[in-house]
Amino acid sequence: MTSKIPLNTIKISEKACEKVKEFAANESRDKYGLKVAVRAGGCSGLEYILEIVDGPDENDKIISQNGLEVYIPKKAYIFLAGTFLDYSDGLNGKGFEFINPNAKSSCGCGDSFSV
Amino acid sequence: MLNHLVVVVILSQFNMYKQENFLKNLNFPLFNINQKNNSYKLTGSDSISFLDRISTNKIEIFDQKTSSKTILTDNKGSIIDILNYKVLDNNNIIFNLESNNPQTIDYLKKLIIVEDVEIFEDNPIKKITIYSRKEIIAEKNLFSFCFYNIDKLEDMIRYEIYFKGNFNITNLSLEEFEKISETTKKRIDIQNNLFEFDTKLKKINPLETGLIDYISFNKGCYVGQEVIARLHNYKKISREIIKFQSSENMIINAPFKSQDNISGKILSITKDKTEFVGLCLIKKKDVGKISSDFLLI
Repeated sequence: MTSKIPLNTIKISEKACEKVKEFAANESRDKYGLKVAVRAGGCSGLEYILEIVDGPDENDKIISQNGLEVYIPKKAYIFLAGTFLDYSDGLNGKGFEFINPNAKSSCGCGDSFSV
Repeated sequence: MLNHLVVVVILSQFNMYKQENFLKNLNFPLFNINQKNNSYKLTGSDSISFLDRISTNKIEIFDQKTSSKTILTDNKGSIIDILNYKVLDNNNIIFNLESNNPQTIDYLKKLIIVEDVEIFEDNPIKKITIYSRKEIIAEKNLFSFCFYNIDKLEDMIRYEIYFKGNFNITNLSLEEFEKISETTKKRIDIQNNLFEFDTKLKKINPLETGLIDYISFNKGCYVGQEVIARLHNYKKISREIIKFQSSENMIINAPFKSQDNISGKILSITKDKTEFVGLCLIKKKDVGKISSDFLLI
């Protein structure tokens, strides 16, 4: 797959995109996007937020990948730049998984990180 | 870091007797007023969720009249600061910092990224600490104050009440109480293994410092939860609080090594006539190694 996405932006695997579209279809949404953000919390200090939303907020950065619009609040972007979002399913799958180069450490379950 | 070699005496029975006499010579009830406390307000629709995710206690509107403490810990489970708080409604929490250190406010502001939360400095408040041999204030009489804590100790009750303006409780006159200095207050607290958090204290966790009552073990994740839960569940708390006395003043958080080769960390210290007494953390495994010779130094 060739990508014109800049190195510093968030990349989302095709599988993760398909899974988001599947969740959106289950919710019967016509127009939607994926909000990716971080907030204080989790064991390590910052936790990821994933949410299917109707559209971007005023201060969101918008990225389009594999037919999916991704909205990232500008304040959260510095913590997420370069992150790869993947999805692993199956009995032992972790679901959505963030591989974040900004994370110095993360908690056991991988849902939160520190920078 | 080099440890200081100082004469530190873990309080022996003889010294404990002296401590008891110190308390017996006091005319309870006693009170102390501290004039310098800042209070703050967390405002916004995410306020409760925000504080809940970054501190040890379960933050919820269970009763808008009551107040409690919660502890900010880092991702290693070490205490950053201790907050007294009261949830006013779905959007507002008032709180103060035990350390009174504005750097904690900077820390909190840095944690606000995408949420609807703002922190404002509120009116300054005063703190009164009352020590009584028996219950003299019913909890319902404290609901109108900013925050309060009631510690039922072995042989006394300690009321810590934060207020704006004048302190006023029906049927209670402070004129009948003895006013004590900050030093005497600290001395009583040390006798009861209590200390106020000082931001000079680094790398101490709430479980080893007697703050377990302010930790929720079923609320889910908060910053530091993974470490604190593991220490608690696997019973890995390695240190405990011990009273000590010393001929020289010592610095809070400073490491020490006694003549008995026991090392520890100073939590609090105050002068008691010609010597200093305080609280320190030592390893639990060292408690059994304290020899009688050591005690009698």
